[in-house]
Amino acid sequence: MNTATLDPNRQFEHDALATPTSEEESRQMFVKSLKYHLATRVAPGNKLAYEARVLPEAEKAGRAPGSYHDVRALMADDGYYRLWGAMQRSSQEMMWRSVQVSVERQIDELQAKAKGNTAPLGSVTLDPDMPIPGYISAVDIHCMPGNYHGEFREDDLSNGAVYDRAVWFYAMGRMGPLNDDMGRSMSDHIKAHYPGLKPKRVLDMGCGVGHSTLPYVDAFPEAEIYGVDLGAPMIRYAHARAEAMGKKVHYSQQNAEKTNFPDGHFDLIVSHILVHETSNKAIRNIMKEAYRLLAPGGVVLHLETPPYRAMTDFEACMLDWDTRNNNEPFWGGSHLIQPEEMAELAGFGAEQGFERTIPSAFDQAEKQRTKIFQAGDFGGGGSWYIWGAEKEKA
Amino acid sequence: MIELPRKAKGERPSYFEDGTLDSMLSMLLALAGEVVVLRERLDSAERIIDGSGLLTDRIDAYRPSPEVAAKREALRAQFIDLVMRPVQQEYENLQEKAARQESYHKAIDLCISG
Repeated sequence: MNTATLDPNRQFEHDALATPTSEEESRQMFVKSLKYHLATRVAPGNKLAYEARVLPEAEKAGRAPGSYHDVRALMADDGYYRLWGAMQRSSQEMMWRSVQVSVERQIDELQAKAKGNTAPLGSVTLDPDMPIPGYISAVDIHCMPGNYHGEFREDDLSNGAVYDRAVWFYAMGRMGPLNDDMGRSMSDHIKAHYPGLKPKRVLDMGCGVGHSTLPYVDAFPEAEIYGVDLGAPMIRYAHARAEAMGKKVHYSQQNAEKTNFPDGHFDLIVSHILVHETSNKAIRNIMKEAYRLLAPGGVVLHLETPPYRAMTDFEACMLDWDTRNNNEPFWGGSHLIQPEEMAELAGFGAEQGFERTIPSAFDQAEKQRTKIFQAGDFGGGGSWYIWGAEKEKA
Repeated sequence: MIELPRKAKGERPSYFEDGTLDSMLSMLLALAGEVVVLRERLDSAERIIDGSGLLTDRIDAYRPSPEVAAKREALRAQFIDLVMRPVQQEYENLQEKAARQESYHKAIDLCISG
């Protein structure tokens, strides 16, 4: 798909998307405007409150912060920070509601369309017996009621439809009309950094509805593209969405910690915002699984926002807000990961681990980006943090 | 139709001493959103009213052109600015405080070096 011809200010309305009525769209667009206002006109005040009163008072009282946890404890009593947080949380809840209403209205139609495709390009494989791990089921991730795996009718894809639309508002459109900035940024990087890599098969772990998977279909037209995710509604919807956009992908409901693919099956394994939704134990398993699945000379890359060691304690505190306020229990833990350590324990060898910063591919959103990594401003950084490991050639 | 759950599993943090304030704020923001919905519906009506056909159907089917979408974006930003004015005032107070401190520090530096 030639994304250059799409309206950069509107989500592309493929056939599987829950399209809004005039009124639903107004409600959804309000959330986008509210989130933008919070990110650009309210959030910056937190730093001023910290520097003007929170930090001086703490220093006077002999409680100078020594970590981002200390900063959080100090900010917890600040009225401005609390007000910002309360509104940020509310905006998140409003976002899901505004999309749910629209999906609920047209679910029969969406489901019928998905089922009506009798000659698919790709495939979809479900595993109803697959256990949902505790790190996913403990709380509804990023406050999406029903989570990735919740099903509310037979063959449900509702939450896939909710997620597809809501992500565009969450990122305030700054990940592009296809919500594909992460996949495009990463695949651009891979082609530039590994010019010799001609993957036969590519795996996207934790693919969700396939926002980041589809760019690989275009980037590597010779390769077979696979996506795995824990959530059945995600996989069903991802399949419907890929087909609606004429992209061939093989989706299956699987846990990335332990898949059913043979050893050495992939030359390239990627994930986009998967890591922060796992756990310390799970990400270790995922890295070991990646090592098993990669052919010699293959590479695994994960995309996230930058680690806390790359920023001040105050900045880390502002990025870490999601850990305790947006149902992202491993957000903080995932931002402390050391790539070399992961590469070592998974069998790659410490020296095979790497971390890099890559630019955002969707440059039409540059003016709307704050260039700050902070809670409630996803897609506004203008760059992404990636880490991973290269498997040595045989 | 389907009815999806509205409550996300997981304890909701409380931001104020009195939980009523949390609820009031959530309601206020939701209400602000509904005012925008109303206003945009009226906007649609005004654009359609001089044409023919069933008004309600046409309003429901109305999708803004990129030009109208941009205009609405600006209107929403203005609306939010107005409603959120008290928060903006706090932000500006903090900015002024920081500026005052800075100019005072500069005055001290000037006196010492001058």
